[in-house]
Amino acid sequence: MRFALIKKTWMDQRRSVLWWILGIGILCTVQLWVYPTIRDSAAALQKFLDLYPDALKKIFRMQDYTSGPGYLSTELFSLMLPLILIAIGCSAGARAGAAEEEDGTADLLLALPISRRATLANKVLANLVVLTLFGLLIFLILALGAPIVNLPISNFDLFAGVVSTTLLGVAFNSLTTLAGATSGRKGLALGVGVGSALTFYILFSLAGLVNSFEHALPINPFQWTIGHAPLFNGMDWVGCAKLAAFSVLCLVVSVWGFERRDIRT
Amino acid sequence: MSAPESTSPPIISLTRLSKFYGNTVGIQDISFDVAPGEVLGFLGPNGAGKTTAMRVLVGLIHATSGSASVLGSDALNFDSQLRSEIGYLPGTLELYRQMSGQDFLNFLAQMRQRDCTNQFNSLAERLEVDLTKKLSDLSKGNRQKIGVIQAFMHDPKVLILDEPTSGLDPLVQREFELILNESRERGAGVLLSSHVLSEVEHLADRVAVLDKGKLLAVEKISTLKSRATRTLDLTFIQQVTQDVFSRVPGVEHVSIRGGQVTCEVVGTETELLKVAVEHGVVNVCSREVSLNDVFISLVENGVSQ
Repeated sequence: MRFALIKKTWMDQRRSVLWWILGIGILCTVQLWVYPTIRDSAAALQKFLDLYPDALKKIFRMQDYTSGPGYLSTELFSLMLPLILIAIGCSAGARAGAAEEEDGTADLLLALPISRRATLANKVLANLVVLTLFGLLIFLILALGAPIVNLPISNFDLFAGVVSTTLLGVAFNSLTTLAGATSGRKGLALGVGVGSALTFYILFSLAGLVNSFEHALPINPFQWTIGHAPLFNGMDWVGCAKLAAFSVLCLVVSVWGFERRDIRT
Repeated sequence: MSAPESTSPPIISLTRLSKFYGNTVGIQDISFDVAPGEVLGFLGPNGAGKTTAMRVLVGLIHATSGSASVLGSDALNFDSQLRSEIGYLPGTLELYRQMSGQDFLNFLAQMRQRDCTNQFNSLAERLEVDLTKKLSDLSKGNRQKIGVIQAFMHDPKVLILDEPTSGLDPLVQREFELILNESRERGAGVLLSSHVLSEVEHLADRVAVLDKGKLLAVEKISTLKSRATRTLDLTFIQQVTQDVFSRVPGVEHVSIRGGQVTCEVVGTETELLKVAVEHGVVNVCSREVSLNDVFISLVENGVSQ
Protein backbone atom coordinates (compact mmCIF):
# COMPACT_ATOMS: atom_id res chain seq x y z
CA MET A 1 0.00 0.00 0.00
CA ARG A 2 1.32 3.45 -0.89
CA PHE A 3 -0.38 6.03 1.29
CA ALA A 4 1.05 8.80 -0.91
CA LEU A 5 -0.99 7.53 -3.86
CA ILE A 6 -4.14 7.09 -1.76
CA LYS A 7 -3.74 10.62 -0.43
CA LYS A 8 -3.17 11.97 -3.94
CA THR A 9 -6.33 10.22 -5.18
CA TRP A 10 -8.28 11.93 -2.40
CA MET A 11 -6.70 15.32 -3.04
CA ASP A 12 -7.55 15.07 -6.74
CA GLN A 13 -11.25 14.86 -5.94
CA ARG A 14 -11.41 17.08 -2.88
CA ARG A 15 -13.37 19.86 -4.58
CA SER A 16 -16.05 17.62 -6.05
CA VAL A 17 -16.28 15.71 -2.75
CA LEU A 18 -16.96 18.93 -0.86
CA TRP A 19 -19.74 19.88 -3.29
CA TRP A 20 -21.29 16.41 -3.02
CA ILE A 21 -21.21 16.61 0.79
CA LEU A 22 -23.04 19.93 0.59
CA GLY A 23 -25.56 18.56 -1.92
CA ILE A 24 -26.27 15.39 0.03
CA GLY A 25 -26.54 17.38 3.27
CA ILE A 26 -29.08 19.78 1.76
CA LEU A 27 -31.07 17.02 0.03
CA CYS A 28 -31.39 14.80 3.12
CA THR A 29 -32.14 17.71 5.44
CA VAL A 30 -34.84 19.16 3.18
CA GLN A 31 -36.49 15.76 2.76
CA LEU A 32 -36.53 15.21 6.52
CA TRP A 33 -37.80 18.72 7.08
CA VAL A 34 -40.75 18.16 4.74
CA TYR A 35 -41.73 14.85 6.39
CA PRO A 36 -43.91 16.27 9.22
CA THR A 37 -46.09 18.01 6.63
CA ILE A 38 -46.52 14.75 4.71
CA ARG A 39 -47.27 12.79 7.87
CA ASP A 40 -49.80 15.35 9.15
CA SER A 41 -51.74 15.26 5.93
CA ALA A 42 -51.41 11.51 5.54
CA ALA A 43 -55.13 10.81 5.12
CA ALA A 44 -55.65 13.48 2.46
CA LEU A 45 -52.41 12.56 0.75
CA GLN A 46 -53.28 8.87 0.71
CA LYS A 47 -56.57 9.69 -1.03
CA PHE A 48 -54.66 11.73 -3.55
CA LEU A 49 -52.07 8.99 -4.06
CA ASP A 50 -54.79 6.40 -4.53
CA LEU A 51 -55.75 8.30 -7.66
CA TYR A 52 -52.26 7.73 -9.13
CA PRO A 53 -52.16 5.02 -11.75
CA ASP A 54 -50.67 1.79 -10.41
CA ALA A 55 -47.96 1.99 -13.02
CA LEU A 56 -46.67 5.29 -11.67
CA LYS A 57 -46.81 4.02 -8.10
CA LYS A 58 -44.75 1.03 -9.13
CA ILE A 59 -42.17 3.14 -10.94
CA PHE A 60 -41.59 5.39 -7.94
CA ARG A 61 -42.14 2.67 -5.32
CA MET A 62 -44.85 4.70 -3.66
CA GLN A 63 -46.31 1.94 -1.55
CA ASP A 64 -47.01 3.14 1.96
CA TYR A 65 -45.71 6.60 1.09
CA THR A 66 -46.62 8.31 4.34
CA SER A 67 -44.84 5.83 6.62
CA GLY A 68 -41.24 6.56 7.63
CA PRO A 69 -39.61 3.83 5.50
CA GLY A 70 -42.07 4.43 2.66
CA TYR A 71 -41.33 8.14 2.58
CA LEU A 72 -37.55 7.69 2.65
CA SER A 73 -37.77 4.94 0.03
CA THR A 74 -39.76 7.04 -2.40
CA GLU A 75 -37.99 10.34 -1.85
CA LEU A 76 -34.40 9.27 -1.37
CA PHE A 77 -33.60 5.59 -1.77
CA SER A 78 -35.45 4.72 -4.97
CA LEU A 79 -33.79 7.35 -7.16
CA MET A 80 -31.93 10.32 -5.71
CA LEU A 81 -29.39 8.66 -3.42
CA PRO A 82 -28.63 5.78 -5.83
CA LEU A 83 -28.05 8.27 -8.64
CA ILE A 84 -25.83 10.48 -6.46
CA LEU A 85 -23.70 7.56 -5.28
CA ILE A 86 -23.51 6.25 -8.84
CA ALA A 87 -22.41 9.69 -10.06
CA ILE A 88 -19.72 9.92 -7.38
CA GLY A 89 -18.66 6.33 -8.07
CA CYS A 90 -18.52 6.75 -11.84
CA SER A 91 -16.53 9.97 -11.76
CA ALA A 92 -14.05 8.50 -9.26
CA GLY A 93 -13.82 5.26 -11.27
CA ALA A 94 -13.12 7.06 -14.55
CA ARG A 95 -10.42 9.07 -12.81
CA ALA A 96 -8.82 5.98 -11.24
CA GLY A 97 -8.88 4.02 -14.48
CA ALA A 98 -7.94 6.55 -17.11
CA ALA A 99 -7.26 10.12 -15.95
CA GLU A 100 -3.48 9.82 -15.56
CA GLU A 101 -3.14 8.37 -19.03
CA GLU A 102 -5.36 11.02 -20.55
CA ASP A 103 -3.47 13.79 -18.72
CA GLY A 104 -0.12 12.35 -19.82
CA THR A 105 1.12 11.83 -16.24
CA ALA A 106 0.91 8.02 -16.50
CA ASP A 107 4.38 7.91 -18.09
CA LEU A 108 5.92 9.14 -14.85
CA LEU A 109 3.62 7.32 -12.45
CA LEU A 110 3.79 3.91 -14.11
CA ALA A 111 7.57 4.06 -14.54
CA LEU A 112 7.92 4.16 -10.75
CA PRO A 113 8.85 1.01 -8.81
CA ILE A 114 5.25 0.01 -8.14
CA SER A 115 3.31 -2.48 -10.23
CA ARG A 116 0.32 -1.42 -12.28
CA ARG A 117 -1.79 -3.77 -10.16
CA ALA A 118 -0.74 -2.00 -6.95
CA THR A 119 -1.19 1.43 -8.55
CA LEU A 120 -4.76 0.65 -9.52
CA ALA A 121 -5.48 -1.13 -6.23
CA ASN A 122 -4.39 1.92 -4.22
CA LYS A 123 -6.61 4.20 -6.26
CA VAL A 124 -9.57 1.82 -5.98
CA LEU A 125 -9.03 1.57 -2.23
CA ALA A 126 -9.03 5.37 -1.95
CA ASN A 127 -12.32 5.53 -3.87
CA LEU A 128 -13.92 2.79 -1.77
CA VAL A 129 -13.09 4.78 1.35
CA VAL A 130 -14.67 7.89 -0.18
CA LEU A 131 -17.87 6.02 -1.11
CA THR A 132 -18.02 4.41 2.35
CA LEU A 133 -17.69 7.80 4.00
CA PHE A 134 -20.51 9.15 1.81
CA GLY A 135 -22.66 6.19 2.94
CA LEU A 136 -21.77 6.95 6.54
CA LEU A 137 -22.63 10.62 6.04
CA ILE A 138 -26.06 9.73 4.64
CA PHE A 139 -26.70 7.29 7.48
CA LEU A 140 -25.68 9.80 10.13
CA ILE A 141 -27.80 12.65 8.73
CA LEU A 142 -30.88 10.43 8.45
CA ALA A 143 -30.36 8.51 11.70
CA LEU A 144 -29.81 11.71 13.66
CA GLY A 145 -32.47 13.71 11.82
CA ALA A 146 -35.31 11.15 11.80
CA PRO A 147 -36.08 11.35 15.56
CA ILE A 148 -36.04 15.15 15.40
CA VAL A 149 -38.87 15.19 12.83
CA ASN A 150 -40.53 12.11 14.37
CA LEU A 151 -39.90 9.98 11.33
CA PRO A 152 -40.25 6.37 12.48
CA ILE A 153 -37.54 4.13 11.07
CA SER A 154 -35.35 1.49 12.63
CA ASN A 155 -31.68 2.34 12.52
CA PHE A 156 -30.94 -1.19 11.40
CA ASP A 157 -33.27 -0.89 8.38
CA LEU A 158 -31.85 2.53 7.58
CA PHE A 159 -28.36 1.08 7.80
CA ALA A 160 -29.41 -1.77 5.50
CA GLY A 161 -30.73 0.72 2.94
CA VAL A 162 -27.55 2.80 3.10
CA VAL A 163 -25.31 -0.27 2.77
CA SER A 164 -27.19 -1.48 -0.33
CA THR A 165 -27.14 1.98 -1.92
CA THR A 166 -23.46 2.47 -1.17
CA LEU A 167 -22.69 -0.92 -2.68
CA LEU A 168 -24.60 0.14 -5.79
CA GLY A 169 -22.26 3.15 -6.03
CA VAL A 170 -19.30 0.81 -5.56
CA ALA A 171 -20.61 -1.52 -8.30
CA PHE A 172 -20.82 1.27 -10.88
CA ASN A 173 -17.52 2.71 -9.63
CA SER A 174 -15.95 -0.67 -10.36
CA LEU A 175 -17.58 -0.92 -13.77
CA THR A 176 -16.28 2.56 -14.68
CA THR A 177 -12.83 1.69 -13.36
CA LEU A 178 -12.92 -1.39 -15.59
CA ALA A 179 -13.86 0.65 -18.66
CA GLY A 180 -11.19 3.25 -17.88
CA ALA A 181 -8.38 0.85 -17.03
CA THR A 182 -8.91 -1.27 -20.13
CA SER A 183 -9.37 1.64 -22.55
CA GLY A 184 -7.30 4.46 -21.06
CA ARG A 185 -10.11 6.84 -22.01
CA LYS A 186 -11.90 8.80 -19.33
CA GLY A 187 -14.82 9.91 -21.47
CA LEU A 188 -15.49 6.40 -22.66
CA ALA A 189 -15.29 5.10 -19.08
CA LEU A 190 -17.80 7.70 -17.87
CA GLY A 191 -20.06 6.89 -20.80
CA VAL A 192 -20.02 3.18 -19.99
CA GLY A 193 -20.62 3.77 -16.26
CA VAL A 194 -23.34 6.39 -16.48
CA GLY A 195 -24.93 4.91 -19.62
CA SER A 196 -25.24 1.44 -18.14
CA ALA A 197 -26.56 2.85 -14.85
CA LEU A 198 -29.32 4.73 -16.67
CA THR A 199 -30.14 1.70 -18.80
CA PHE A 200 -30.35 -0.57 -15.76
CA TYR A 201 -32.47 2.01 -13.95
CA ILE A 202 -34.95 2.31 -16.81
CA LEU A 203 -35.17 -1.48 -17.10
CA PHE A 204 -35.68 -1.71 -13.34
CA SER A 205 -38.27 1.03 -13.01
CA LEU A 206 -40.34 -0.23 -15.93
CA ALA A 207 -40.05 -3.88 -14.93
CA GLY A 208 -43.45 -3.78 -13.24
CA LEU A 209 -45.02 -2.71 -16.50
CA VAL A 210 -43.10 -4.60 -19.15
CA ASN A 211 -42.88 -8.37 -18.82
CA SER A 212 -39.61 -8.81 -20.68
CA PHE A 213 -37.95 -6.22 -18.41
CA GLU A 214 -39.17 -8.18 -15.41
CA HIS A 215 -37.34 -11.27 -16.63
CA ALA A 216 -34.10 -9.26 -16.62
CA LEU A 217 -34.51 -8.19 -12.98
CA PRO A 218 -32.30 -10.95 -11.53
CA ILE A 219 -29.30 -9.48 -13.35
CA ASN A 220 -30.12 -5.86 -12.59
CA PRO A 221 -27.97 -4.13 -9.92
CA PHE A 222 -30.91 -1.90 -8.98
CA GLN A 223 -32.92 -5.02 -8.17
CA TRP A 224 -30.04 -6.22 -5.97
CA THR A 225 -30.11 -2.83 -4.22
CA ILE A 226 -33.74 -1.85 -3.74
CA GLY A 227 -35.66 -4.85 -5.08
CA HIS A 228 -36.13 -6.25 -1.62
CA ALA A 229 -36.92 -2.90 -0.01
CA PRO A 230 -34.26 -2.91 2.73
CA LEU A 231 -35.86 0.07 4.49
CA PHE A 232 -38.86 -2.18 5.20
CA ASN A 233 -37.23 -5.59 5.37
CA GLY A 234 -33.73 -4.99 6.70
CA MET A 235 -30.47 -6.18 5.24
CA ASP A 236 -30.70 -7.89 1.85
CA TRP A 237 -27.66 -10.11 2.25
CA VAL A 238 -28.08 -11.82 -1.11
CA GLY A 239 -28.46 -8.52 -2.96
CA CYS A 240 -25.43 -7.08 -1.17
CA ALA A 241 -23.39 -10.19 -1.96
CA LYS A 242 -24.32 -9.89 -5.65
CA LEU A 243 -23.30 -6.22 -5.70
CA ALA A 244 -20.02 -7.06 -3.97
CA ALA A 245 -19.34 -9.99 -6.30
CA PHE A 246 -20.08 -7.84 -9.37
CA SER A 247 -17.66 -5.19 -8.06
CA VAL A 248 -14.90 -7.69 -7.35
CA LEU A 249 -15.32 -9.22 -10.80
CA CYS A 250 -15.09 -5.79 -12.46
CA LEU A 251 -11.97 -4.91 -10.45
CA VAL A 252 -10.25 -8.20 -11.20
CA VAL A 253 -10.87 -7.71 -14.93
CA SER A 254 -9.69 -4.07 -14.59
CA VAL A 255 -6.33 -5.18 -13.21
CA TRP A 256 -6.05 -7.95 -15.79
CA GLY A 257 -6.71 -5.53 -18.65
CA PHE A 258 -4.59 -2.71 -17.23
CA GLU A 259 -1.54 -4.93 -16.82
CA ARG A 260 -1.71 -6.19 -20.38
CA ARG A 261 -2.23 -2.90 -22.13
CA ASP A 262 0.16 -0.44 -23.74
CA ILE A 263 0.00 2.96 -22.10
CA ARG A 264 -0.72 5.74 -24.58
CA THR A 265 1.47 8.85 -24.71
CA MET B 1 35.45 11.47 -25.28
CA SER B 2 35.86 7.79 -25.81
CA ALA B 3 33.68 4.82 -25.09
CA PRO B 4 34.65 2.98 -21.98
CA GLU B 5 36.32 -0.28 -22.88
CA SER B 6 34.46 -2.04 -20.13
CA THR B 7 34.23 -5.75 -19.64
CA SER B 8 31.53 -5.46 -16.95
CA PRO B 9 28.08 -6.68 -17.94
CA PRO B 10 26.02 -4.07 -19.76
CA ILE B 11 23.59 -1.87 -17.85
CA ILE B 12 21.09 -1.99 -20.69
CA SER B 13 21.05 -4.66 -23.36
CA LEU B 14 18.59 -4.91 -26.25
CA THR B 15 18.54 -7.95 -28.52
CA ARG B 16 16.45 -7.86 -31.69
CA LEU B 17 13.83 -5.89 -29.85
CA SER B 18 10.70 -5.16 -31.90
CA LYS B 19 7.47 -3.37 -31.25
CA PHE B 20 4.64 -3.28 -33.76
CA TYR B 21 1.42 -1.33 -33.44
CA GLY B 22 -0.81 -3.52 -35.55
CA ASN B 23 0.96 -3.45 -38.90
CA THR B 24 2.86 -0.28 -38.11
CA VAL B 25 6.49 -0.62 -37.13
CA GLY B 26 7.45 1.07 -33.85
CA ILE B 27 10.91 -0.47 -33.71
CA GLN B 28 12.27 -3.51 -35.51
CA ASP B 29 15.14 -5.78 -34.51
CA ILE B 30 16.94 -3.20 -32.42
CA SER B 31 20.09 -4.48 -30.69
CA PHE B 32 22.60 -2.53 -28.65
CA ASP B 33 24.23 -2.43 -25.21
CA VAL B 34 24.92 0.42 -22.83
CA ALA B 35 27.95 -0.21 -20.62
CA PRO B 36 28.41 1.02 -17.04
CA GLY B 37 29.55 4.62 -17.12
CA GLU B 38 28.56 5.03 -20.74
CA VAL B 39 26.24 7.57 -22.31
CA LEU B 40 24.65 6.22 -25.47
CA GLY B 41 23.14 8.95 -27.62
CA PHE B 42 19.93 7.92 -29.27
CA LEU B 43 19.42 9.75 -32.54
CA GLY B 44 16.76 9.70 -35.19
CA PRO B 45 14.17 11.85 -36.89
CA ASN B 46 10.76 12.33 -35.28
CA GLY B 47 8.86 9.06 -35.26
CA ALA B 48 12.04 6.98 -35.71
CA GLY B 49 11.17 4.84 -32.67
CA LYS B 50 13.44 6.32 -29.98
CA THR B 51 10.59 6.97 -27.55
CA THR B 52 9.07 3.56 -28.30
CA ALA B 53 12.31 1.78 -27.35
CA MET B 54 12.62 3.83 -24.16
CA ARG B 55 9.00 3.21 -23.14
CA VAL B 56 9.48 -0.54 -23.65
CA LEU B 57 12.47 -0.42 -21.28
CA VAL B 58 10.51 1.23 -18.47
CA GLY B 59 7.53 -1.07 -18.86
CA LEU B 60 5.00 1.34 -20.32
CA ILE B 61 4.47 -0.68 -23.48
CA HIS B 62 4.94 -4.34 -24.30
CA ALA B 63 7.53 -5.49 -26.81
CA THR B 64 6.27 -7.63 -29.68
CA SER B 65 9.44 -9.74 -29.87
CA GLY B 66 13.09 -9.78 -28.92
CA SER B 67 14.56 -9.31 -25.49
CA ALA B 68 15.81 -6.52 -23.30
CA SER B 69 17.62 -6.56 -20.00
CA VAL B 70 18.36 -3.86 -17.48
CA LEU B 71 21.07 -4.54 -14.87
CA GLY B 72 21.06 -8.15 -15.98
CA SER B 73 17.34 -8.70 -15.30
CA ASP B 74 14.67 -9.20 -17.92
CA ALA B 75 13.21 -5.76 -18.55
CA LEU B 76 10.20 -7.09 -20.43
CA ASN B 77 8.45 -8.85 -17.57
CA PHE B 78 7.42 -5.58 -15.96
CA ASP B 79 9.32 -6.17 -12.72
CA SER B 80 8.43 -3.08 -10.76
CA GLN B 81 11.38 -3.46 -8.37
CA LEU B 82 13.78 -3.16 -11.30
CA ARG B 83 12.40 0.31 -11.88
CA SER B 84 13.71 1.47 -8.50
CA GLU B 85 17.14 1.57 -10.18
CA ILE B 86 15.90 3.49 -13.21
CA GLY B 87 15.63 7.23 -13.58
CA TYR B 88 13.26 8.00 -16.44
CA LEU B 89 12.47 11.31 -18.04
CA PRO B 90 9.60 11.03 -20.53
CA GLY B 91 9.78 12.88 -23.84
CA THR B 92 6.35 14.39 -23.32
CA LEU B 93 6.62 15.53 -19.74
CA GLU B 94 3.38 16.10 -17.86
CA LEU B 95 3.47 16.83 -14.14
CA TYR B 96 0.81 17.09 -11.44
CA ARG B 97 0.33 20.76 -12.06
CA GLN B 98 -1.72 21.45 -8.97
CA MET B 99 1.21 20.43 -6.76
CA SER B 100 4.25 22.52 -5.85
CA GLY B 101 7.65 21.27 -7.02
CA GLN B 102 8.45 20.20 -3.47
CA ASP B 103 5.19 18.27 -3.03
CA PHE B 104 5.58 16.63 -6.42
CA LEU B 105 9.14 15.45 -5.76
CA ASN B 106 8.16 14.33 -2.26
CA PHE B 107 5.27 12.36 -3.74
CA LEU B 108 7.59 10.59 -6.19
CA ALA B 109 10.13 9.92 -3.42
CA GLN B 110 7.41 8.41 -1.23
CA MET B 111 6.28 6.25 -4.14
CA ARG B 112 9.88 5.09 -4.40
CA GLN B 113 9.87 4.56 -0.63
CA ARG B 114 13.04 6.63 -0.38
CA ASP B 115 13.91 9.91 1.26
CA CYS B 116 15.34 12.01 -1.54
CA THR B 117 14.88 15.42 0.10
CA ASN B 118 18.56 16.30 0.27
CA GLN B 119 19.21 15.19 -3.30
CA PHE B 120 16.28 17.03 -4.84
CA ASN B 121 16.96 20.21 -2.89
CA SER B 122 20.58 20.17 -3.99
CA LEU B 123 19.64 19.49 -7.63
CA ALA B 124 17.02 22.26 -7.51
CA GLU B 125 19.66 24.66 -6.24
CA ARG B 126 22.08 23.70 -9.00
CA LEU B 127 19.44 23.97 -11.72
CA GLU B 128 18.03 27.14 -10.14
CA VAL B 129 14.39 26.18 -9.89
CA ASP B 130 12.01 27.32 -7.18
CA LEU B 131 10.38 24.26 -5.59
CA THR B 132 7.84 26.25 -3.61
CA LYS B 133 5.97 27.37 -6.72
CA LYS B 134 2.98 25.49 -8.06
CA LEU B 135 4.01 23.48 -11.11
CA SER B 136 1.27 25.14 -13.17
CA ASP B 137 2.97 28.49 -12.52
CA LEU B 138 6.36 27.34 -13.81
CA SER B 139 7.62 27.98 -17.34
CA LYS B 140 8.17 25.03 -19.69
CA GLY B 141 11.92 25.18 -19.06
CA ASN B 142 11.47 25.14 -15.30
CA ARG B 143 9.04 22.22 -15.51
CA GLN B 144 11.66 20.38 -17.55
CA LYS B 145 14.14 21.04 -14.74
CA ILE B 146 11.70 19.35 -12.32
CA GLY B 147 11.58 16.42 -14.76
CA VAL B 148 15.38 16.22 -14.76
CA ILE B 149 15.50 16.41 -10.95
CA GLN B 150 13.03 13.55 -10.50
CA ALA B 151 15.05 11.37 -12.87
CA PHE B 152 18.32 11.91 -10.96
CA MET B 153 17.18 12.38 -7.35
CA HIS B 154 17.42 8.72 -6.29
CA ASP B 155 20.94 8.22 -7.75
CA PRO B 156 19.76 5.60 -10.24
CA LYS B 157 22.10 3.10 -11.87
CA VAL B 158 20.19 3.42 -15.13
CA LEU B 159 19.11 6.65 -16.75
CA ILE B 160 16.65 6.69 -19.62
CA LEU B 161 16.29 10.28 -20.73
CA ASP B 162 14.05 11.24 -23.62
CA GLU B 163 15.06 14.67 -24.91
CA PRO B 164 16.28 15.78 -21.47
CA THR B 165 17.53 19.23 -22.41
CA SER B 166 14.47 20.25 -24.38
CA GLY B 167 13.55 23.76 -23.27
CA LEU B 168 16.62 24.26 -21.06
CA ASP B 169 18.73 27.37 -21.57
CA PRO B 170 22.48 26.95 -22.35
CA LEU B 171 23.65 27.67 -18.79
CA VAL B 172 21.31 25.07 -17.35
CA GLN B 173 22.34 22.65 -20.09
CA ARG B 174 25.90 23.05 -18.89
CA GLU B 175 24.84 22.18 -15.32
CA PHE B 176 22.83 19.25 -16.65
CA GLU B 177 25.97 17.99 -18.34
CA LEU B 178 27.85 18.14 -15.03
CA ILE B 179 25.07 16.26 -13.25
CA LEU B 180 25.06 13.65 -16.02
CA ASN B 181 28.82 13.25 -15.76
CA GLU B 182 28.58 12.69 -12.01
CA SER B 183 26.12 9.85 -12.66
CA ARG B 184 28.38 8.45 -15.29
CA GLU B 185 31.31 8.53 -12.88
CA ARG B 186 29.20 6.58 -10.38
CA GLY B 187 28.96 3.91 -13.07
CA ALA B 188 25.43 4.61 -14.26
CA GLY B 189 24.52 3.65 -17.81
CA VAL B 190 22.68 6.34 -19.72
CA LEU B 191 20.46 6.16 -22.78
CA LEU B 192 19.82 9.70 -23.92
CA SER B 193 17.80 10.78 -26.92
CA SER B 194 18.05 14.19 -28.43
CA HIS B 195 17.33 15.99 -31.64
CA VAL B 196 20.12 18.47 -30.89
CA LEU B 197 23.00 16.66 -32.55
CA SER B 198 25.72 18.95 -31.27
CA GLU B 199 24.53 18.17 -27.75
CA VAL B 200 24.72 14.42 -28.30
CA GLU B 201 28.14 14.85 -29.82
CA HIS B 202 29.16 16.64 -26.66
CA LEU B 203 27.57 14.27 -24.13
CA ALA B 204 27.59 10.82 -25.65
CA ASP B 205 30.34 8.21 -25.95
CA ARG B 206 28.59 6.41 -28.75
CA VAL B 207 25.45 7.00 -30.75
CA ALA B 208 22.71 4.71 -31.97
CA VAL B 209 21.02 6.06 -35.08
CA LEU B 210 17.46 5.02 -35.71
CA ASP B 211 15.19 5.66 -38.67
CA LYS B 212 11.71 4.30 -39.36
CA GLY B 213 12.11 1.89 -36.46
CA LYS B 214 15.35 0.38 -37.73
CA LEU B 215 18.82 0.77 -36.33
CA LEU B 216 21.17 2.29 -38.91
CA ALA B 217 24.33 2.40 -36.84
CA VAL B 218 25.73 2.06 -33.33
CA GLU B 219 29.18 3.55 -33.35
CA LYS B 220 31.62 5.82 -31.63
CA ILE B 221 31.07 9.30 -32.96
CA SER B 222 34.64 9.45 -34.32
CA THR B 223 34.11 6.19 -36.25
CA LEU B 224 30.88 7.44 -37.72
CA LYS B 225 32.53 10.66 -38.74
CA SER B 226 35.40 8.85 -40.40
CA ARG B 227 32.86 6.92 -42.48
CA ALA B 228 31.05 10.04 -43.52
CA THR B 229 31.69 12.06 -46.65
CA ARG B 230 34.28 14.76 -45.92
CA THR B 231 35.12 17.79 -47.98
CA LEU B 232 38.73 18.79 -48.75
CA ASP B 233 39.70 22.11 -50.31
CA LEU B 234 43.02 21.86 -52.21
CA THR B 235 44.90 24.84 -53.61
CA PHE B 236 47.35 24.47 -56.53
CA ILE B 237 49.59 27.07 -58.17
CA GLN B 238 49.12 25.59 -61.61
CA GLN B 239 45.92 24.46 -63.35
CA VAL B 240 44.88 20.85 -62.76
CA THR B 241 42.32 18.71 -64.58
CA GLN B 242 39.26 17.14 -63.02
CA ASP B 243 39.95 13.53 -64.08
CA VAL B 244 43.23 13.51 -62.12
CA PHE B 245 41.15 13.55 -58.92
CA SER B 246 37.94 11.81 -59.94
CA ARG B 247 39.91 8.61 -60.59
CA VAL B 248 41.29 8.54 -57.02
CA PRO B 249 39.64 5.82 -54.85
CA GLY B 250 37.22 7.27 -52.32
CA VAL B 251 36.68 10.54 -54.15
CA GLU B 252 32.99 10.97 -54.91
CA HIS B 253 32.75 14.46 -56.31
CA VAL B 254 35.24 16.98 -57.65
CA SER B 255 34.77 20.61 -58.58
CA ILE B 256 37.50 22.86 -59.97
CA ARG B 257 37.75 26.63 -60.20
CA GLY B 258 41.15 27.70 -61.41
CA GLY B 259 43.72 26.29 -59.01
CA GLN B 260 41.07 25.67 -56.38
CA VAL B 261 39.87 22.04 -56.18
CA THR B 262 37.11 20.80 -53.87
CA CYS B 263 36.82 17.06 -53.36
CA GLU B 264 34.25 15.06 -51.45
CA VAL B 265 35.86 11.93 -50.14
CA VAL B 266 34.69 8.86 -48.25
CA GLY B 267 37.09 6.67 -46.27
CA THR B 268 40.83 7.28 -46.26
CA GLU B 269 42.23 10.54 -47.66
CA THR B 270 45.74 9.11 -48.19
CA GLU B 271 45.43 8.40 -51.93
CA LEU B 272 43.94 11.78 -52.63
CA LEU B 273 46.69 13.56 -50.70
CA LYS B 274 49.38 11.59 -52.57
CA VAL B 275 47.95 12.68 -55.91
CA ALA B 276 47.62 16.24 -54.64
CA VAL B 277 51.28 16.33 -53.58
CA GLU B 278 52.37 14.93 -56.96
CA HIS B 279 50.56 17.85 -58.62
CA GLY B 280 52.17 20.46 -56.38
CA VAL B 281 49.44 21.23 -53.86
CA VAL B 282 50.27 24.31 -51.75
CA ASN B 283 47.40 24.26 -49.27
CA VAL B 284 45.03 21.60 -47.93
CA CYS B 285 41.99 22.48 -45.89
CA SER B 286 39.71 19.77 -44.45
CA ARG B 287 36.26 20.97 -43.52
CA GLU B 288 35.02 19.81 -40.09
CA VAL B 289 32.46 17.00 -40.38
CA SER B 290 29.54 17.57 -38.08
CA LEU B 291 27.43 14.82 -36.61
CA ASN B 292 24.65 16.52 -38.47
CA ASP B 293 26.28 15.61 -41.81
CA VAL B 294 26.80 12.04 -40.63
CA PHE B 295 23.23 11.80 -39.44
CA ILE B 296 21.76 13.17 -42.66
CA SER B 297 23.94 10.92 -44.77
CA LEU B 298 22.95 7.87 -42.68
CA VAL B 299 19.25 8.59 -42.79
CA GLU B 300 19.26 9.50 -46.48
CA ASN B 301 21.34 6.54 -47.56
CA GLY B 302 19.97 4.13 -44.97
CA VAL B 303 23.46 2.76 -44.38
CA SER B 304 23.20 -0.33 -42.26
CA GLN B 305 25.59 -0.98 -39.44
